[in-house]
Amino acid sequence: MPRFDDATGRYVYVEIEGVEYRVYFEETGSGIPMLLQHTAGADGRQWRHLLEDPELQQHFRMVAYDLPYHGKSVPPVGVQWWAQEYRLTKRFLMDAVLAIGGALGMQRPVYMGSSIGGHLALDLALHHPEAFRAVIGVEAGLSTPGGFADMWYHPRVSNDFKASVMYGLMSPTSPEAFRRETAWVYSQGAPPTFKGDLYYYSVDHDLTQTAGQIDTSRVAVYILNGEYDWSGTPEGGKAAATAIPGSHWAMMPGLGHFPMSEDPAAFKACVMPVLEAVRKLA
Amino acid sequence: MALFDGPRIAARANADPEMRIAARLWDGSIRLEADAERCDFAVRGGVLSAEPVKEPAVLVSGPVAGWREMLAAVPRPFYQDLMAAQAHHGFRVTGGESALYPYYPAMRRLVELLRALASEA
Repeated sequence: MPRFDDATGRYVYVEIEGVEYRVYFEETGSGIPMLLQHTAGADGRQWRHLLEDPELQQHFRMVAYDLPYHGKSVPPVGVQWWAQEYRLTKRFLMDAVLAIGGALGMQRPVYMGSSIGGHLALDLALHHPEAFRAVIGVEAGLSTPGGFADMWYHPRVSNDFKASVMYGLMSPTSPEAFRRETAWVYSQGAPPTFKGDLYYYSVDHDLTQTAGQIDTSRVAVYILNGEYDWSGTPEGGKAAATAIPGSHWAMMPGLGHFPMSEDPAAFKACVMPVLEAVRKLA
Repeated sequence: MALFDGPRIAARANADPEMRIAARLWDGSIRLEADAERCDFAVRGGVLSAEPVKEPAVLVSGPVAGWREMLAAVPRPFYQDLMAAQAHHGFRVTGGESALYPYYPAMRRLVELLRALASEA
C-alpha cells in the first residue's frame, strides 16, 4: 500500500489590489480555522509537519498557502512583473491573507506566521482585529531594520548564499536533516523574492510607535521567539509583548528562526500551550 | 595555546566532502584572526593551503574569547554562525559580494570543521 500524507493541495483564485492571483495551498484537519504563513522568500512547505500532526488535525482546520510569487503560486498573468522590482508591502500582505481566508470560507480564523509572517501577526492585530480570533507571531518584533539590502538579490550571489545564511539562523541543536531541508526550501525561492519580502520585514513593518494601540480584547496576541534566532531575537519579541497590553510572550529554548520546520517536535511543545489557550477562546 | 592549526585545518577541509562541493571553483584567500593570532589560507580551485597571504580576500576577525565561544561543541546563542557573531558579538567578517558571499556555504562549513577540530583537541 502506498503511504500518503494527509495534506491535500489545491489552487484558489483570489483578487488582491485589483489583480487576480492563482494561489496554492495545502489543507488538513477540521475545526477552528487556522492560516499558516511562511517566512520571506520561502513557501508553505515549512508547515508540513504541523499539517500532519493528528492532535492538531482534531481541533484545527489548517491551511498553509504559498504567497503570490512564492512556491507554486506563480506570478499573475496580465501583469508585466518582469519589468517591475518585486517588493512586498504591508498592504499587499495583509490583503493577501484576508483574501485567501475569505475565499476558503474561514470565519475569524487563527493566524500564525513566522518571520515576515510573525511581524504580520502584529500588523493584522492592529489593522484587522475583527477578522481574526487570535494571532500568533512566531519570531515577531516591533521592527527589524537593516535587512532590505542589495546583497540578497545581487548578480554575483546565488540562492546558495541565502540558504546558507538561513542555515545559520537555526539552532545548532535542531535535527540536521530538518535544518538542511529548511535551507533547501530557501535555495528554491525565485531570486528576487527574498529581498523583496525583506522590504516588508525591514521597512514597511514598524510598530515602534503604534503597538500600544493593539486591542487584545478584540484579538488575542501571542508572540514566540526562538532562543537562537539572531534576527527575530527573543529580546525583540519580548519588547513587542511589553508594548502590547494583554499580549503573551514566550521564548522557545533551543530553536531558531524557523522553528516549525527546523525542529517540529520542539516547536509543537512550545506552541501547544498557545493553541490550547486559543481553543478556550473559541 | 594557539587556536588555529593551519595545516591541520587545511587537511580536514580538503578531505571533507561537503567542503569540496561548497568550495568548488573558488580561487581566493582567507585569514582567521583571533586578537593577535593569524592563520592564513590560499584557496586554489577550492583547495586550501595553509600559507601566508598579503591581503586576504576574506577576513574573519574576533576576540579569542569570542572564538572559543564559537568553537564550542554547542555554541551559545548567536555564536552559531559567522553572521550571527558579526551582528551580536563583535566579529568582523569581510569580503562581501565579490569574495565572501559566493563561497559563504564553504565558509560556514569551515567553521563547522573548526568546531569539530576544537572538540577533538
